[in-house]
Amino acid sequence: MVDRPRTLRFALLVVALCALVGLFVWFATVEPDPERNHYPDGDDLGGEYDAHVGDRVAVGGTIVASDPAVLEVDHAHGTSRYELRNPPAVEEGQYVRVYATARPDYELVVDDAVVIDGWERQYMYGISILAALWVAARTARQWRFDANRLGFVPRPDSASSTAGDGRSMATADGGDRDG
Amino acid sequence: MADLLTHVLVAYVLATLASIRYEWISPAHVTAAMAGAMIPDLNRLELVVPPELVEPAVGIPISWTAFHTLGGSLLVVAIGVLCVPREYRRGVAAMALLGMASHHALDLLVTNPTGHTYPVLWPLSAYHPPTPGLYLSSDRWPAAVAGVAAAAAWYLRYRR
Repeated sequence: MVDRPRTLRFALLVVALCALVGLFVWFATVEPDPERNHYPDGDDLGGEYDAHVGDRVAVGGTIVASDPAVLEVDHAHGTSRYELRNPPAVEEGQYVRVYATARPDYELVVDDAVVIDGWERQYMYGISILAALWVAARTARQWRFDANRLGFVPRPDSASSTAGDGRSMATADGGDRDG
Repeated sequence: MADLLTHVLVAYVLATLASIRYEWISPAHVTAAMAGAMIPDLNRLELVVPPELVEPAVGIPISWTAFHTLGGSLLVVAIGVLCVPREYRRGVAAMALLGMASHHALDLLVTNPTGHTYPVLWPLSAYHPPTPGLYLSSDRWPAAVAGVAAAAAWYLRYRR
């Protein structure tokens, strides 16, 4: 016997997954367009720098020399180094994003920049990983996979917000905050 | 582009405060909102699976950045909603959308040297709207403020 709702659900799931893959492919074809405030980035410059000479560009990378300032940018085609003209005050190891004009010979004339210390980036990634682990732990504690229904369902004590027992709710959620 | 802890805490605050008014919102729903707030940052998959490694395998370039747009984020919400049985779908959809929307709302405020942010409405529009530049993803204070707000929301909901 065909289980109609289940078949429909899997069909929709496949459609959504295919559409998502389609967006991954489509987004990769989007070209910079200054009219829409979308400037060439590190990947674009790394691909063919000379095609972008004279363009306003938006590039991020690591400072590898400070006098003169040199920005090292990892991109899809490898790694490039750009000498910064009119740079902000920078030290080696800092992460810098610049809004700049591309000049011949890998020179970027900086219009505006954001400078981040190496440890600040590490903080950002560290705290973000902790957040992901927190949500994963909450999910594992509050949801389970129901093989009969082929889906994720809340575990009983996590779903009963209407039970009206404020104490038990407090315990259920309060415990999470330690984890 | 704010740090992920800020996003998750803000979703916790919004969902927990909403649960005071709407009793159907359970702790499991709050978690759905927090998970929803992580969706746009799935673009960080690029750190684990660089797109230039995928390209030779599939034959065409791809970009994980699509996750960090309305179109990509909505599709992930839809996929998540289809992974729960029918009676939970409305609640999970509402919560995941709340978390996902709060993520984009916060990221539209992030400082960028161009003065503009990212194409949030893509694929509807490729326009990068201007940003007020309130903070950087590496700033510490957004997570601190969100943490205090989360503690306050928890107190209001479960202790008062």
